[in-house]
Amino acid sequence: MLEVRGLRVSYGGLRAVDGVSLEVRAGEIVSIIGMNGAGKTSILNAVSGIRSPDEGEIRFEGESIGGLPAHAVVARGIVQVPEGRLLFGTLSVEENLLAGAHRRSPFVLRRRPRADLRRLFPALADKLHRPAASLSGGEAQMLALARGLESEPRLLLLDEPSLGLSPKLSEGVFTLIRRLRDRGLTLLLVEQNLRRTLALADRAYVLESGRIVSSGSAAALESDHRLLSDYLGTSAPAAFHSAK
Amino acid sequence: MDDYVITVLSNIGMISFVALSAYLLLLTGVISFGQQAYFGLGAYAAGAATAMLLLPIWAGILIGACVAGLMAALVGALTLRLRGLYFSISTLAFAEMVRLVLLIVEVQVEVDGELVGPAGAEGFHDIRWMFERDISLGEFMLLIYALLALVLVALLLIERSRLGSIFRMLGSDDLLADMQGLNVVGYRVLAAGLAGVLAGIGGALYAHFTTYVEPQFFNVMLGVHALAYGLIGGLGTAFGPLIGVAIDVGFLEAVRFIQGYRMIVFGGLVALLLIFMPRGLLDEERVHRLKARFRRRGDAHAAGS
Repeated sequence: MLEVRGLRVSYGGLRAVDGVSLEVRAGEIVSIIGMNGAGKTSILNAVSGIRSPDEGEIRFEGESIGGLPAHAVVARGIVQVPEGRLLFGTLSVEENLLAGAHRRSPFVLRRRPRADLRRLFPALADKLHRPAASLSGGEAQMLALARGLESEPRLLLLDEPSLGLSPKLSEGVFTLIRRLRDRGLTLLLVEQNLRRTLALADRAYVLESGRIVSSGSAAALESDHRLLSDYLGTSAPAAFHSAK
Repeated sequence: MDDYVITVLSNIGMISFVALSAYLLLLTGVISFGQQAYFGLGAYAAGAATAMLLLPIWAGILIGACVAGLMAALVGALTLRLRGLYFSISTLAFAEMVRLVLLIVEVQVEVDGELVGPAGAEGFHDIRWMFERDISLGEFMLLIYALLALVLVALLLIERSRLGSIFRMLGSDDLLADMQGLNVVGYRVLAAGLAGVLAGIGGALYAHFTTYVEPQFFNVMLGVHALAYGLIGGLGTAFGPLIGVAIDVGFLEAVRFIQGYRMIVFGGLVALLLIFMPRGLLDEERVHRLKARFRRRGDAHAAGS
């Protein structure tokens, strides 16, 4: 479905992504694992068109999409849920939710969000008219996910969906991701939380300083603790520990 | 009503168009110091239509709105890729350019044995549609407010539509808006064009109300005030900038004993609001809360009946 070959992205001479190749097949959850600054978000940004790549090829269902503007990439069915700056703070929850409905004409009055979204995100249904800035961290993450789904993506790029959430809340996010896959969505997931991510993903790529240092099925990577701790440095055991 | 009151009310109405123009752009997160240019272009184009081409007033207003709107969209397409301050400076530069060009443009035609048309620094005199038709100031004021009401309804519909959300998304976080699949520059150009139309209508009315226009009136102070009206009145609803105009033109300028202190009070007011209510009296949060209150009342009403 998605094919990335020899991707290079740099910021002012600093190379963030250095020759990354990866593949996501339809119906998979693929994860990119790595420390802060490894270049995970830069890969997502290049795929979604937020950042144009210096070099390399990005193909989506056979079509080359590298360097297309972000709105053209979204129109093809790739939607990114970014990390951190999640919501339009001054807009209501409902407006945020419908922000993803880019296929709808701008000249119609706002419509209700799709019913199944309200079933997936019951916590948001009661707060549709609140300003988005009033939501808690967990609710904000849910809303960002729901907004991503409103675009009816075929490939969802998720950037650290559990960042800053309590273990309980991030458990909720991971459960949701699993349910989305069961509904036929393909996901490319960037995470720092090792154990959880490997439990969720079908395959994973381990990224270090802009290069892929290891890849394979999640099960194989999970059993290779030594490899992971080598490449992720001393904090890897801590990451395993904190996931328990 | 005496003519003074009518003039003040008419000024409030006409300046409101420029305030709404700047407000629309503020919604999308860009600060323009140049909306006075479109007010000026609308005034000149509409004046030329009725006084030189002898067209009816509605055609004049339409032409003024279109000329201003097209020009604003064109300038927007060229400059809206610039970020923040750079865009703001380019709007100011363009507006000054328009003003300086109008200072040297002399195009006059003979109408009933008299020369009519823009005469450079002399301005554009004898836009006498009101006199020729024997329209009173009061009647013209009604025209101003009818058009303002029309524009306001259109803006409120836009705010209820997806387009309104899109404009606010651009203002809230344009990178995130980009990620939602929105053509950010395209929508910004659309907003700039609509804002140009609004300012153009205001200018068209102004030219016919005062019967003459001169480039000096469209200097940067008009643009800065237009911005300030939205920031005073609030960016949560289109009524916000109207409140701003009413406070400034209706109170500070019209009440005679504070006239000499107008700019001091106005500047102080803007400074205080920027500190304590940076998005104005009717900001988004207050508007959300007001809407929620109305909605609850509406629900209670529906449940009770």
